[in-house]
Amino acid sequence: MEVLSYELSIILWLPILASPITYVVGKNSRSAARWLAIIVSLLDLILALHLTLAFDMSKTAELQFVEYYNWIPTAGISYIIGVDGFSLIMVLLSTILSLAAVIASNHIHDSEHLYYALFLLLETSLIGVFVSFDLFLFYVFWELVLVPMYFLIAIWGGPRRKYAAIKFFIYTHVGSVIMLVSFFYIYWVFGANTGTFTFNLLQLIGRTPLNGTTYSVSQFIQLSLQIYLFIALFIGFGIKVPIVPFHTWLPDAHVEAPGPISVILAGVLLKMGGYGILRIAIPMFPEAASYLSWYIAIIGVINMFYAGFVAMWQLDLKRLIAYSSISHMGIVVIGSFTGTTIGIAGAIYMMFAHGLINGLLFLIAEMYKYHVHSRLIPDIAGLTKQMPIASAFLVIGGFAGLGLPGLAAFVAEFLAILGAFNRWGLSIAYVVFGTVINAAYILWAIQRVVFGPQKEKSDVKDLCKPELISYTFLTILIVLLGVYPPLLMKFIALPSEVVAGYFTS
Amino acid sequence: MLLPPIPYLSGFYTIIVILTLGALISVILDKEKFRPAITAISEVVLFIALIYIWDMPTHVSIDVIFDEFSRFLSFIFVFSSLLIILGLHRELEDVVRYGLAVALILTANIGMIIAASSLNIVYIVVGWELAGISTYAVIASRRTDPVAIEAAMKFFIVGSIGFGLSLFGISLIYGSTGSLYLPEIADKIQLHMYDFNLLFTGILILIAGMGFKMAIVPFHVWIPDTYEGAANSITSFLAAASKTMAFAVGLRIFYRGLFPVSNIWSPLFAVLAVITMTYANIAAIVQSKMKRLLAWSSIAHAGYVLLLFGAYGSSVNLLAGGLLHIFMHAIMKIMAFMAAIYITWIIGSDLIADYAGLGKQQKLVSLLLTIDLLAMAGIPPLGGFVSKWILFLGVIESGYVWLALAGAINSAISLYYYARIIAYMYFYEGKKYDVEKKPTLFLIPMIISTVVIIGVGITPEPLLAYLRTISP
Repeated sequence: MEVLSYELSIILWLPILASPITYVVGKNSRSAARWLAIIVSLLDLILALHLTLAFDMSKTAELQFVEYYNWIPTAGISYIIGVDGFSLIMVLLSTILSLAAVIASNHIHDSEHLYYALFLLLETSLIGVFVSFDLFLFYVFWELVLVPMYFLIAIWGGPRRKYAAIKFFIYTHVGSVIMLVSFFYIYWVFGANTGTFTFNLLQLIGRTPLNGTTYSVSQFIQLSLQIYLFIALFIGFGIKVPIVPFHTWLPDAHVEAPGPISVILAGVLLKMGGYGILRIAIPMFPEAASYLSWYIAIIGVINMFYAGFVAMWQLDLKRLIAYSSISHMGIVVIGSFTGTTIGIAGAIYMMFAHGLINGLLFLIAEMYKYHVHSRLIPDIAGLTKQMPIASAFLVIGGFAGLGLPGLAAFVAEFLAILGAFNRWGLSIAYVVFGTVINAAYILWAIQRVVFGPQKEKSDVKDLCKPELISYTFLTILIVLLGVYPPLLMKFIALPSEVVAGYFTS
Repeated sequence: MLLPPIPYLSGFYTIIVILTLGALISVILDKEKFRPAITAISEVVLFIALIYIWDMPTHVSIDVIFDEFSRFLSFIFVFSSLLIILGLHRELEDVVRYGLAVALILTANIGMIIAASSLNIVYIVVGWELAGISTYAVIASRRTDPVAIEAAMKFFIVGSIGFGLSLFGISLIYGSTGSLYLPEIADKIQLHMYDFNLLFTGILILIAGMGFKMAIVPFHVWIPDTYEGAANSITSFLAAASKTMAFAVGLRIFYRGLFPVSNIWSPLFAVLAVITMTYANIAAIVQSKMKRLLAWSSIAHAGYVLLLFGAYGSSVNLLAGGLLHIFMHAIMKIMAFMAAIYITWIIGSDLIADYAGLGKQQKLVSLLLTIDLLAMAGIPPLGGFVSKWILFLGVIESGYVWLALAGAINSAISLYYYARIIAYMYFYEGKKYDVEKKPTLFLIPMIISTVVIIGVGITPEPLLAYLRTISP
């Protein structure tokens, strides 16, 4: 299939260009802003799918649709965008969840034009993170995500939104600047040793030759220093993941953010951390990554257990799902550092699956707030009769979250744990117990909400049309990825193998 | 040349003559009815000076050297003045001797341009003091306002002490090396024809003296009071032009004259830079008044710029990034102070808490101020981000990773107090303000500044490539 040579740029810049138009048009007509945002997100998704169809499936590990321009040549900064299989599915995830979130924004009624304008700005920044292959450009998008997010949480969020928004903003910004300092150090070491100062990621990690020779940063830095730099990068990315103990911004931000924004937070923002680890941190410092892999796997296990136990005693459904996100991200961390193709593919699979599943769950939790005026489990319990469809979606989402075979997360967990066994043998067995805890709190929550003592409440309605559309859309994908894993696997198998190739045993 | 050269005068003196004529006309026309004329004439004069600065050939004589470094810094001085006089016109409406204030701004420009265009310390000092006296006086142009007088007095006393200390330090350096010509000082030091103890003491005292003007902690105490007391336009002149001059002079003296002994002053500046930025950022967090907050933020930015001295080394990006940051800081501070005066005009208060709800009422100003605050915090893709991080990149290239890390963490801290202002504007409900006469004149410098901030952020390449060719 034919694509334009700059089609990726169109996908990237379309939402941000539509953003001011949405603002101006939406000033006069509220529904116009909403429809414009939906159309732009849909168009972006269609373009991304079109790109996927044109994607050369035999070369998923290589960068395709590359665009290269000099941006700030004096400092070695260029505009390099492109996608490999891993990036492509993350772009798809961003566009899918953006569309679902925009459709599900039907409860936003306060200055809609600003909301949708910021949302489109956010969409461009998210896509930008996954397609930039220049560290500086990557950082620009990485930081640009924070600005619309700050406004979206703080204007349309829950009662403690101001606190949550500023905490999110500062917390993640601190991680980012530490990361940027290490980027600069990498740039400097590479330039000082090769004579070419560049932020080109592929040249820095030795995937693309520089003046005929292939260098990589790690060959110029001793292991002891590599470890420090790796930790700096890992903190930067890990705050986004989030890894315990840097997770405290997440429950606040997720709970206070409006529902559709929680979807983007859980579905895409957290993936930025995992993406950064697999795309930048590990290839940049493979020896350090191999050296630290066991310790980081332990952090992943702590993530699973700690977040799982905390989730168990949450009464707020949204908070519970927020903690379940942290717990799931533990699997991503473990999978990423197994150093095996299977484990890394599992981590990537989990990133995609978790985006869909927790997106769905957050939408449901937020829906309860509008339909029942509460998200607390005791208040929303026993409404199955009045809200049968909503309860059904909650059950599906919950089962998907706990890793029921046939649904997306099962494949991911299975692969990640298999990878961990291959690498560490039985000593990592307690990961399995982590999934049991996972199952426990989800099942318990479902039991309380859906199968609790039935009661009748007046003025409670079941799902409305936009909700139904976006939930069904996500559910179909969850089931599809559960029963037919190759759909995703063929995109990520080769990229995972490349990342796994960096590890030394 | 866009403009014809004036006969018998080389380009450099043309600038001085034009500015002097402008100042004279402003004083002669100093009547209430000529007020708009004074503004218009001074703007035209500054604009002509700007064009001369832009495309004048490099001027080299024994005492005046107008090179690319001088050109860039003079450009900052004159461009800032161009922006702030529009604000001054509106803000000093109740001041009788308006023409005098404008004339003082122009003479301050003359002083600054001289200070930035010489390698002879005597010339530098003369220019410095001309600029200094003009600014002391212009702060006091609100003669009936005790706060402004206090601010002017404070600035005068502290500025004089700083100037005296600098002179004393310079005289010790002269005593040590026997020269006042910067390249000659460097030669003497490289040939070991100097007295170490005298030089060392001289440098210490010089740093202390310049610290007052550069806003280095612990010589900063006058800044919040003076910045708060002076009219906003004049405050932004202090932050944008006056401080830039101090850095220009510092760069000349240390990069051109004292670079052979960089092992003496560089670590000292490194420590001072970290102290300055950390102290100022922490102090800024607890401020409740906008102008004081901006004053502290200005001190914090001085801390970043001090990295130019603290990380002196072989880096190629350090000086370019530092100069770009000096420029961006000037523009960002003008923007912020103009927005502050605009908002104070409407809500009648300088408290940040009173900014509540402005985002819904004053949409344009709130948006511009938000962009500016994010730029100061270093959020991409704005000018403040590019300049700050190219500077930090240079610091790392010089081998001072810890300094860059300190700067980066400080930059992250600063986000808190900038974001707080944004939070008040957009996330809180406030009173409704009805103002019949909006001070729209302030919008012109604000829009120009914002265009520069966004423009430099998106395409920094031409400016950066140019700045790389500059050396003090």
